[in-house]
Amino acid sequence: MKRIKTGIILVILFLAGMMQGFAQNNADTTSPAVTVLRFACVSTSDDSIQLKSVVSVKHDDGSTNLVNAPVIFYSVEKDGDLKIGEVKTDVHGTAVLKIPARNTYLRNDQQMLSFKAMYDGNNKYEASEGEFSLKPAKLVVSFYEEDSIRYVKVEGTQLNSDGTEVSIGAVDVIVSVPKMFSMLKIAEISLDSTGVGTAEFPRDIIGDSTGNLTVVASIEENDIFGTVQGSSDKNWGLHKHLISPDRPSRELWTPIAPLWMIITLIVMLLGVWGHYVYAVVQLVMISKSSKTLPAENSKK
Amino acid sequence: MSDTASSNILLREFAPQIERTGTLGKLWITFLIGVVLLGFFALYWQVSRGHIVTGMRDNVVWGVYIVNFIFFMGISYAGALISGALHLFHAEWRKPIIRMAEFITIISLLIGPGFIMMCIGRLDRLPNLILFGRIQSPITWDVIAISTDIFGCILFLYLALLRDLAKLRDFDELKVPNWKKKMYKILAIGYTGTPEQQLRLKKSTDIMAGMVIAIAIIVYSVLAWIFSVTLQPGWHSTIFGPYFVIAAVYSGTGVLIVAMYFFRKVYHLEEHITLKHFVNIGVIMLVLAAFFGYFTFSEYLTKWYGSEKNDEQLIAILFKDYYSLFILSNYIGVLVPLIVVGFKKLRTINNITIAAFIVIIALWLNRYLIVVPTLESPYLPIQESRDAWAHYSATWVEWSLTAGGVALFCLLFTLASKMIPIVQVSDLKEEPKEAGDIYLR
Repeated sequence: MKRIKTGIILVILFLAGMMQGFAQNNADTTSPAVTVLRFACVSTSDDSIQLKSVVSVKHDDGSTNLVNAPVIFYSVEKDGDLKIGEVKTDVHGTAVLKIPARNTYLRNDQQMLSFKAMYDGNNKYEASEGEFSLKPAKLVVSFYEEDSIRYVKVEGTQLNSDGTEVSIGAVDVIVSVPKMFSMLKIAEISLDSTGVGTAEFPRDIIGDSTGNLTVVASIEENDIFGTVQGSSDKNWGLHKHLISPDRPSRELWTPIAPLWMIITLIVMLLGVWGHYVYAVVQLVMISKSSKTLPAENSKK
Repeated sequence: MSDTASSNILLREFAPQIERTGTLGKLWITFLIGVVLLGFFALYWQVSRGHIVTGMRDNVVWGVYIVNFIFFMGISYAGALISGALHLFHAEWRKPIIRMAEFITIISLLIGPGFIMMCIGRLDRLPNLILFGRIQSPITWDVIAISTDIFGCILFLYLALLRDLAKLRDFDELKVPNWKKKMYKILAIGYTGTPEQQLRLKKSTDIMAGMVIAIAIIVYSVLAWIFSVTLQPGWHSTIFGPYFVIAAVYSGTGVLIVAMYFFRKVYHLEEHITLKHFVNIGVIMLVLAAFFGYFTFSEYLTKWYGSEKNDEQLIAILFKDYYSLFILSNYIGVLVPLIVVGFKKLRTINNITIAAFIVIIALWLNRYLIVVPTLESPYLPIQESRDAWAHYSATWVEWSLTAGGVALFCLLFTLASKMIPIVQVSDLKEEPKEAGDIYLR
């Protein structure tokens, strides 16, 4: 019997040791997660370039953004990479660095600027990087009215290394208006040889309470210019009335409820609570009447 | 036989319920406390970790909590309607079961609103509902309506209890702790049954019986309007108010029958609660089943025939992803009571109770099918969302809290029956029994 007990204990210890070893092996073989760095550059109308990278971790169900990861941005030049700056990713896994469009970074033979974004990784996450080349460009949005027809005008220019600006032609530009969930496309313009394009502006776009609209012109993921965006505000939108003077409003943010609702509520509440009060008063009277009963009864 | 003598005989019969709890009763209460504690643990888990531990996400923002809220509120209104209506119509057979209907009303009314709190992510902002409440918001209507209803129902229950409390106070043979005797004395507010007191009590009880019916209809309609004023497929319906009221009374009737069955067994009330009571309540359930079936059919027929894109999508989901639940809820839940109560041969206590139990399950599922599939098929397309976020599946936390709520309902019901006789003693009269006719009243 004693031998059996000893045997069982030894087997348990052996199995426990095996499991421990297996667990350690598992821990040892855990490799860092694969990360993906998406990198793009956006030229904006305020003469700057946004270097934007998104770092995510791939897994079976898709990918999850990596937060607080340091991303280093470089200018890729002939003599080697020149560090521009370091930014940590936000809750969306995005790190953005803004640099002036007129800068001193060296360009390549095609007069393009090359940038690199790099995440160095750690023991949990693998390193990843991305590269992007572009010619800095600019889109200027303006408006004019002719024969009672409204037009939006877009002028595109590229910035040379010597600081001069040259028109860009034969490029497609999308004109849109930001709405709650996405950009509402209102026109697609092809810039002519002078870098100018126009389109009729629709009259049925809803703006803010005073009719203001932000109109955005953009060149999307062009091989030479990357993404270029320019925007301008104009009060050509329809006025969005929060409180319409000519109809009763039911929106929750109106300062006061409709009169019929207030009256109905007051009448109903008074009716109901009035009856409650009556019932409570009757109870009080019952209680009081017990105190006026003869002593034999009132002992209860 | 005088009223006092008759009541004393009945009190002697019901006293053991109040005086002591048997081993089985203690085990039952311990089990219920255990499940309630599990619910509290789940609540702690949810509060400490946030709503991420539930199945609710950006798209499906309501789940079983709101279903439980509607369900408990529904059975509370049913209790109010049944007890109020039977009181007003002076239905003599109501007397042994009316107390249960009143208990169902109050207890479910105390538990139901708790579930809506569990849906709220930021409970610290709850006072804003009162501080900055706007009466044009259906949520504010609901808060006003429910608080009015709770007060009215408690008042109605108290009025109905008053004579029994006085009888318990005056019954010297009752062996209960002193605190219980004191409680009876305080709550009886000196009622001795003088003609003046009787008149006052009758007047206020009649008025409150009418009020609880009116309030029950208003409150449950308001609850329905929370859904129907929303532009969501399946919710934006003009008949949701009456549909919810009928569904509420229907489910409440089911709960009342099941409660009657268990209390009859546990407290040996076979002499007071007879087949006649089950059949009478069963007939009410049958009528409600027909109305409920009619409303359900009308609701889905118009949506299907209208062929509006999102309604079509919703009906497709109901008949595909939720097929078995839809059939159980809207077909079996309607047909079983119709068949069981409709055919005289099938009208046994067991059959009616089984049908009532099926009704309870079916009506809970009905509320689930109103809430979840609609949120899974919104008008606005779901953008850049994971599949798991667009579809709802309740987690262990939600199921534990649901079980905790049901257990709390049973626990409070049990404890209430330990305080006051589950049958209204003051209304019943002990009649001289004749051989062969002892169960007829």
